[in-house]
Amino acid sequence: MSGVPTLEQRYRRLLRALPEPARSRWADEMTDTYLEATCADDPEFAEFGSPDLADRIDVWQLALRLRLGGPGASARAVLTGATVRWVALLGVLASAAPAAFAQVARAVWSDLPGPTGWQTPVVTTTAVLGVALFGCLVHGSVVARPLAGGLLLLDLFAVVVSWSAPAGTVALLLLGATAVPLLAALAVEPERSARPWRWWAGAAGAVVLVGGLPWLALVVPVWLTTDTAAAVGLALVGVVAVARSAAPAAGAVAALAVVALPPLVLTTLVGGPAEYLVAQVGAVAVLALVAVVCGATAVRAARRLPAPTA
Amino acid sequence: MASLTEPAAFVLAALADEPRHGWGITAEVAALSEGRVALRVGTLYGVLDRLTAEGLVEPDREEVHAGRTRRYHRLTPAGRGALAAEAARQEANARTLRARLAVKPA
Repeated sequence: MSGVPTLEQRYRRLLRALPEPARSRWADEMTDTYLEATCADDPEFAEFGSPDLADRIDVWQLALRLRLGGPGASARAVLTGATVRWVALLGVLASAAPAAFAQVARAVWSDLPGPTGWQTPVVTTTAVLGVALFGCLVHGSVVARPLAGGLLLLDLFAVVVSWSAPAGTVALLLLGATAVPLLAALAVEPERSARPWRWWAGAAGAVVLVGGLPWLALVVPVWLTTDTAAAVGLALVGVVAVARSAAPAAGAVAALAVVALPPLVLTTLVGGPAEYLVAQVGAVAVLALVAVVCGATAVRAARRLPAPTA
Repeated sequence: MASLTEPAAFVLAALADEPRHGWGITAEVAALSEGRVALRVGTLYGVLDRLTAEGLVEPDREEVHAGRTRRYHRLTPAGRGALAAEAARQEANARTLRARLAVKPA
């Protein structure tokens, strides 16, 4: 036997992408099925053949579904899947709520400051798609995935077109923060939430808190930025999640706080009026605290679950 | 009962006459659907895992073939029931659609 891997070894290597316990349960049998399917009328293929791209994508999709708690997954994978779902729902809500509010506010009061030029259609489309994506995620629609993909491309487009240093660095970090919930929305299987009305009630709250309150800064001399309001909103969800030992929600809040921190720290470092800085530093402190407390709750819950075994 | 996905319905149909192993199921599904449903191996085992978890399919026996274990799967009574229910659902749908076609357009 030479050192060159055979087709069987190549398939086995590909199947290592599968998590336990599915790998031990299925890998032998799947290898056998692959070899039977590909070598039935071409013995040469067993020596030199390789899994094709479609096979690879198919196995990677199965691996992702199993890691996110699909049928046959471990208890930890089920927890991971629930957490990723919360990341998608909370993260999309956090950006869609202020965007939707701003659209309505500008439609009512046309003299409000807003985007100009090419940004106007992009901002409007992002707001509309964001609200649609939130609805699709809550109600388990299969349209959620294409919507999340479209929003991701739109965000990427906005960053590339408006690229300039040093604002580009902030834009890139912000893209990271908005991309994480969208990637989560791409990864999770469509599933209707147990109580959709709760999510819509939460969305109404988010529109008022994250969307409405920061606009007060335009009329009364108070520095409340969207960042501060979002940090407070995330902290509220975090407090409820920790109090109820809801590990998926706590984990999602921690993850969203971690991705929101870098752009927030950077914009704070850029500087501004004192009141603005106080609000921003407050938001940074709240997010850091939320990340630690909620993260600890989620990790403790995950540790209590049995490790996936063969 | 929730309706079955097309691959799941064909996997159950492939097991209706006798227990089969992975490749046996794929080949039978291709034959039954006249080549229309080509199950990829990852998809097949995803479907088998779900059907097993739902109690519609269960392990039958294991055979060693060329040094590799080959596991056979069989339909459970619940699986036969689910397949019958799916067939009835599709029949009812087909009847409704044909009845619509029989109506002369106004």
